[in-house]
Amino acid sequence: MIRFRLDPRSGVPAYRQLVDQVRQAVRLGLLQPGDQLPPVREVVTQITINPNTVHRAYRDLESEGLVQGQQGRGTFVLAAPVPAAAPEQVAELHRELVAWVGKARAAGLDDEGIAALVALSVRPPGTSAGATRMAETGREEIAR
Amino acid sequence: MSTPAAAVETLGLGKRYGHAWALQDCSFRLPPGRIAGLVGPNGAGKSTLLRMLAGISTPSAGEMSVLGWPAGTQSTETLACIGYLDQDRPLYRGFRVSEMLRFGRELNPRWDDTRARRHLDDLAISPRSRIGRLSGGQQAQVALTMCLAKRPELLLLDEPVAALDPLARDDLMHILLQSVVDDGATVLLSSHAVADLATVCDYVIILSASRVQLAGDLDHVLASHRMLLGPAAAAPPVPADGAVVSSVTTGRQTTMIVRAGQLIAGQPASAQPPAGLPIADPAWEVVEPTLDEIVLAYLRHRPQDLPQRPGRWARGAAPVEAR
Amino acid sequence: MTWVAWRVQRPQILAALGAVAMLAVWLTATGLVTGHSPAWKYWTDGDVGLLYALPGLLGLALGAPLVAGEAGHRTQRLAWTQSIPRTRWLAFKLLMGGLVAAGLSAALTALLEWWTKVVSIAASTNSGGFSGVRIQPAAFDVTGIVVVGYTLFAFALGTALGAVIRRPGWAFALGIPVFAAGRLLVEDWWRPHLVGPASYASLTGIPSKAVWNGWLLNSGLVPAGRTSPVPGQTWQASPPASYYTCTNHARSMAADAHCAALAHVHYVMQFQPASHYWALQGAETAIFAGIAVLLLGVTVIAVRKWSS
Repeated sequence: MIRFRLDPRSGVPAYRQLVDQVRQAVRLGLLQPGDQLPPVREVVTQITINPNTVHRAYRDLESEGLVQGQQGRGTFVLAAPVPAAAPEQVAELHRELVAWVGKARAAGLDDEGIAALVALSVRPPGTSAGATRMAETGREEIAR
Repeated sequence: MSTPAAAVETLGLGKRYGHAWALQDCSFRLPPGRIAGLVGPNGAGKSTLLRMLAGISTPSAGEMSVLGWPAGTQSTETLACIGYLDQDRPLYRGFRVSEMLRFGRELNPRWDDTRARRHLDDLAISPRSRIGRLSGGQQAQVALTMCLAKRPELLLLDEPVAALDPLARDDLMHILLQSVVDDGATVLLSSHAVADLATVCDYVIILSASRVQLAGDLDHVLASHRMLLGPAAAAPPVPADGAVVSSVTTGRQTTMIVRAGQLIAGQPASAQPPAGLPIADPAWEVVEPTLDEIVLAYLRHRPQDLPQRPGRWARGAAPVEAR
Repeated sequence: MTWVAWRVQRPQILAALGAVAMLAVWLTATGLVTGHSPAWKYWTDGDVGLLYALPGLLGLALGAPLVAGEAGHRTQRLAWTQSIPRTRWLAFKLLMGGLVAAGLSAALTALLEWWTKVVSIAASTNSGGFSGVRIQPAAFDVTGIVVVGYTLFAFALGTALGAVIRRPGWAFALGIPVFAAGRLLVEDWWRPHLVGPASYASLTGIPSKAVWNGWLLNSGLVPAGRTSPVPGQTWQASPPASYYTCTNHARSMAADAHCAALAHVHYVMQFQPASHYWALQGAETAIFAGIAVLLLGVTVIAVRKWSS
């Protein structure tokens, strides 16, 4: 089961942090379909958070179709939003990326340059969705 | 009892000690099921407000209703629904912990002894211990346990985590939040440390200089305030129906917190239109302030600084010297 | 709530119980010793007088901290936010404290009944000692049911002062002079008239056995045929000058009586006879119980209005 963390200094709203952590866990395969999210009662014993905020995060995840609340039983992971890679595969990809970053540094790129290259590669050609989507969601929240 | 529209509602509530008003013209409406943070500096009237709501202090002016009951109703029924934690955490110092629990059991029909004993067990506080021998943190835990074991619908907690070490603070908050999940209680807790509240509260009441400066939904409060950074000489691009809450000038730069719309103390936050704050002036950088920054801005500002009519604030409203 | 009232007041109750127990030991010991060898101690009214203060101290010690004691650590804020109305909470505490005060004082007075008797028998062989005449203040004040009345008065006084000034120490300290003043006022100004006194008239001024065994209020020479001084005059008013001229030459009691008869005056002794003992005890107890009820009313009002 996932264990949440909260960074009060990040400036990101608490419920957003929970949503992101669940997404991340699903993406990394730490949460598999059928896994249960910790009940609200348990979350508030781990992190100092308003129970309503946890409810709200779970509702958001539910409306995204990532999880499903079952009356009286709890909230369960439905399916990964993107085909989840096997953990070994993820580890392999991570190793390759680390090697690539090393090469980029050796070539004289600074961190900003590396980030820009990564962002460019993640965004599918000809669209503005993808990598920018996350950032935009964040901004929408601010505007709300 | 049917669920009231507001867990707590006050209108023009005031308390006077001699000639000095400890709290004046206090109006707000706290919907049920919320965890509300009552923030303000020491002496702002936080404890006075909580004591009046708990029924141990008589208001000098105004009206209030608690869980749908009018003020000062001293029936068993009303008292049973309110859990009050005093700032001083009063306990009988000569009692053993188990005797303190028996005190609660004898005086409260809804007393949950199992819960009380479980809490104290989790905190490794022995029922045999004398209250007077416990540490300040343990006494605070016993006092909170006494509140929670009543299974109240409304918890009024005066500085529950003040003077606690981080571990005790964490334990106390978790026990509190767990009970809130179990009982669905409304909580009104005061603190002068805003950082404690940011992740816990979803409603905020800012008290300063014996008055309510702001009361509203945390989301609305955050959404309707902006921090503006710009040149000291320029007029700030504040929307016509907005107001400058505080403005600090350091050298050539002015930092101000502005507020959109009429999110005025006493107005229910839900009645407020979500503020758009369309500030489009290239000279000014617009940042979303944290709760900390908003609270500080209100504590700096004096009541007369807020304009009654739009337009008058335009230049140099509420200037505060940077320290 | 009974347990709560008992537990919160336990320190004071135990202290009062301890003090009364120690006193009981002392009374029993001195009573037994005096009864065995009367020459051991010569008891005077003053010795017994020390016991007058007991009901006051006992009542105040139980009453002063009853409400005011909560203010010290502000535990009233804890008590009044439990699920029990303030007045009910107070009623239980008052009942507990009042019953303890009444019980202890009743026990004390029962012991004093025996002790005053023993001690007075020992003293009666000497003149000027403690007479043990129950209608006279020295014994009246420490026997019968008035002791319970005084204790309840002091208890109610302590709670009222405590509820008003909210400091147990001050309430106790202020309570002592108020208690003493209340007791003296009633004893000196009210008790003599609670029941109509009796009179005994004689030409010689020698008291009868009834006067001897009663509580003498007034005595003096008044005109023959009257049982009290002429209106406008006091008991000390001088008889006609001819009476003194006559008694200056009188050499016997019979001659004195003759002089009085010639001057148309006689000695009158106004007194409360021993038979009025219970009537006076009842009336005075009722007075102090009444004052206690009024003071408890003050306590209730002060607690209801208490805004912290």
